[in-house]
Amino acid sequence: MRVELKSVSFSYDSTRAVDGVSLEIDSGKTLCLVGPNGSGKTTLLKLIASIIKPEEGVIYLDGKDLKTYDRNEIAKTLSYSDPHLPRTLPARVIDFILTSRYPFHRVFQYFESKEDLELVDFLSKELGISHLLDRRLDQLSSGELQRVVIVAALTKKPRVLLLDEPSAFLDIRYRFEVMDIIKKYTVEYGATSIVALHDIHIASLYCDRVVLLDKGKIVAYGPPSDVFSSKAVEEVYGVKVEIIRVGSSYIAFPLPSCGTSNTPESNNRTSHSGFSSSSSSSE
Amino acid sequence: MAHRIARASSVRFFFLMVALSSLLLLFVVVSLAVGSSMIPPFEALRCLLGAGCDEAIKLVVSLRIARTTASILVGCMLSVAGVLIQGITRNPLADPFILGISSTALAVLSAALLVDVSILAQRQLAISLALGGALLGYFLTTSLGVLAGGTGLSLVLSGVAVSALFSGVSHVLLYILQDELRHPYVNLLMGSTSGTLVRDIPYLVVPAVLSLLALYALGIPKALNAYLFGEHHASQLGYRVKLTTVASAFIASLLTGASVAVVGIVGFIGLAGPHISRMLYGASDHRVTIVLSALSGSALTVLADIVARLATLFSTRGELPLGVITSIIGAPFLAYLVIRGGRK
Amino acid sequence: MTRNVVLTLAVALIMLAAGLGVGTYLTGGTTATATITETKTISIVFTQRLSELTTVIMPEVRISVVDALGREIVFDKPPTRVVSLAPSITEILFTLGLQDRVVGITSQCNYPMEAQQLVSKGKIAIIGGFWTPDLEKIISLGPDLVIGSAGTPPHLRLKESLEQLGIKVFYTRAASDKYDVYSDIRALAKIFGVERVAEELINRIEADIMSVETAVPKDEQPKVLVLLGPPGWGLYSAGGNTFIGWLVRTAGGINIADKFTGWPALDYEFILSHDPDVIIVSAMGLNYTVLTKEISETPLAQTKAFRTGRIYLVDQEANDILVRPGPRLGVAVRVLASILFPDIFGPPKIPVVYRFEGGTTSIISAGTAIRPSTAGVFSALTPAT
Repeated sequence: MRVELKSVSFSYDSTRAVDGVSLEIDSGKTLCLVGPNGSGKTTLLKLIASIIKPEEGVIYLDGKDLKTYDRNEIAKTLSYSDPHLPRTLPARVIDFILTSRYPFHRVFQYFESKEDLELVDFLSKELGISHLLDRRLDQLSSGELQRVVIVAALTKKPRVLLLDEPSAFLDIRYRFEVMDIIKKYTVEYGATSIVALHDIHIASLYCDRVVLLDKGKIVAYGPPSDVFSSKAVEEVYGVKVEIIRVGSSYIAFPLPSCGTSNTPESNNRTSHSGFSSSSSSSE
Repeated sequence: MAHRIARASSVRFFFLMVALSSLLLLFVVVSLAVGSSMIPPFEALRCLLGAGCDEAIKLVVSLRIARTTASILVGCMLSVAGVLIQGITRNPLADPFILGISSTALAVLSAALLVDVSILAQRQLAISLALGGALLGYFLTTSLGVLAGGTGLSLVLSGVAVSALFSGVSHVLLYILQDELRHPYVNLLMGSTSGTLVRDIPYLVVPAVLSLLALYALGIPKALNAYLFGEHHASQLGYRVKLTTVASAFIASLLTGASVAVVGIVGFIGLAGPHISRMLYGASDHRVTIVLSALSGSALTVLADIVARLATLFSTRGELPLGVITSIIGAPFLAYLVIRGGRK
Repeated sequence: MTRNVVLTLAVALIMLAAGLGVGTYLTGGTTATATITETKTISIVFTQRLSELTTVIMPEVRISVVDALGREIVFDKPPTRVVSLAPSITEILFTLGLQDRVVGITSQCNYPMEAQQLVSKGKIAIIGGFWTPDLEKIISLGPDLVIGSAGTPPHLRLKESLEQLGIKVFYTRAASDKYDVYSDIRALAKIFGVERVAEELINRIEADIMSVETAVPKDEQPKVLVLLGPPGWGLYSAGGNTFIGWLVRTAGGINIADKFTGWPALDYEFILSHDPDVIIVSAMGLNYTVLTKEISETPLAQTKAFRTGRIYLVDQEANDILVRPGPRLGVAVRVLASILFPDIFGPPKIPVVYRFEGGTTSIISAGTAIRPSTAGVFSALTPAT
């Protein structure tokens, strides 16, 4: 499903969280939203998910104004994964995943259908969480939880997949695994994925288009190779970097500023998510 | 795998429903049999089913029916209210009285009594006033809560504010009133079924039925299931979060307000019912917990009523109010909950 | 020798005159109150004067009494500024002729009439309600003795604050029978040195009680249910160890709540299984038609008392005497006996007692209600006139 934003703006009180953003992405493609904390990635996702309404501008899904869709239609078409999952009341993984099927129930249908359960089984197998289905959410590790969240999203068979930091807490192996699955789904089902990320490396590997955001405005927009020039990243994150190209992917190498004790060599191979915050523009 | 789990869950639900219903039925029969005059349960049942019984026994049984029915309804209503409140606040320690409605009910009733003490003797009027006061409290809390964001948390905080204000007001009013009545006003605060009449029962049944209809017409159980995982999660599933929280709070207030109006404040049930049902079922599916809470809450309350009556036989202080019994059981239970929660 | 006799006589005469003068000043020369008949007045005054004399001659005598809390309270001389925290206490003080020493009473202290008259004349101040005494008002009166009831928590709470300021506090008992009342009367009398008056009073009360006890039929004891308020408030009755419980017993009735202590909450089942012959409800100033309507709509309508038209509502003064353990003890017993055995004792002589029979409520007590109803917020906030 084609997603299009035209000059969309939104403010929280007096702060402009999203300022005149225009972008578009086609079916089967993945768009990555990259930017420091507070740049508007989450707000943008919520706008597309219709959780909040834009103050200015229009959002189009398949050429139709998002405002004209009714709630249930939206619920069946797209899925938004909240990175923060409340876990105060005991709830099972399977119950969580099955809530994604609620929009598809008939008006007074009270319980899940056989098809719902089959779908959950299938997806659980794909993501290797079948053994976790009857566990409680608060008994899972972060990695397991993240995969459960993906399954819950995919259970909707959404045409638009909105993911907020899907791999934030995962170690290297799972991080790639999750992105692989997302990519696979996007391509095979012809869905549109919009993923908010910190990690430039992952973004460059998996995204067809990248949107670099700073304080709600688009700073750069295009394929990773265009977006990830050292200057742009530096300006946005406020850190001196060296962009190194490895195969078809990019790695941002933060260069030490005067006064840090680490030498460039020791900064090798460490986690790329999050740049040193010494002079970043994040909150 | 998912199939297996779903099936096991359904079986469990069904089994628990049957088990709890049987327990409730057992308690009801005991409740009809026990009192200052012990009636053999068989006799009590025969009277209940209209199969002819002694005049004297009939009279006693008809009195106990009023109390028992009130206990069943109150237990059911408070537990369901508890499930709803815990659902919208996502807090297992929330109980139906946090919305501040019992304090407004009390304040309205005390104000009315100060204007005309004779209202005390007009039970139906007193009940209506108390219920009206409860709903007033709901409107105040909800308006404040919606202004503050409309989430479960803002509702709770508003409830605390409203409760604090009207608690103070009602205590002052009752302090003045107390002088006239020469009796401490503890009576209104501690719930009791000893004075319940059959004519009071409609004041419980009607709100209960209305609430039930509203609950299922609005699809609250599933909405709360979705809301359990976050308001954004519920939003993207097509649910109107504000509507869900406001409607659930309203239903909870109606249920609790009616209970308070007829029987007084009975604590602990609204907390224990939901907790027991979650413990027994093993998860928080509201479609299940609402039903199981209703059953366990009723059973608990009927049991407490039986204990309250037995107190007459064993102590010289007469019958203990229901609210006192439930608090006595409640305190250690709550302590257990807190400790278990802390250890995790 | 003669010189000594004359000197002694002269001194005695001067002391007598001085004593008379002092006595007159202290007591204001008034006679004792209505409950004690005219013929006895002179001797009582003389007895007072005599005890005053004795006190004057031996100024070093310290008065020691023990109050209901078991504390010994010592007085160097009888207090002159007394605050009463309860209507029963006010009644005792006035009946003992001590009204001149009273500076503060509660808004519910409506007996004798003189009490409220002194309030409107400004000689006595209102210090709050029985359940709501105002500490500051009490202190502002500069009392040297405050008398409260041991069975009333708000009174007990004032103990520390008052004693810290050097004000003596005496607690009367939560009376459960006449002996408790007599103890209180005697103790208070002792403080003020009016023991003779007290003994006269107690003898009078005993005589009243005796006259009822002898006339009461021994073989016919009606079962009585006392309700302290309308059923909607809760079915609160009086236990066997309460004053009301004792009153019922002495008036020849059987209190169905006798096995309980304190103020138990009963339930309909209990009441119906005991099937009282008489039900007495404290009307508390409620509208009596509303009250009787409510009663007829509850299971109380199934009792023998209801069927035989023996539901009584007591209000105002009649209600007061039933709940105040004080000098009108004897009157209370007689009123109850009149309710339980109207054929023997005639209608109650104290207003207001209603009887509900055959669907109508009518006043059966003699005398007119001389005080307005004390119910409602407005009377609570303004001093009674």
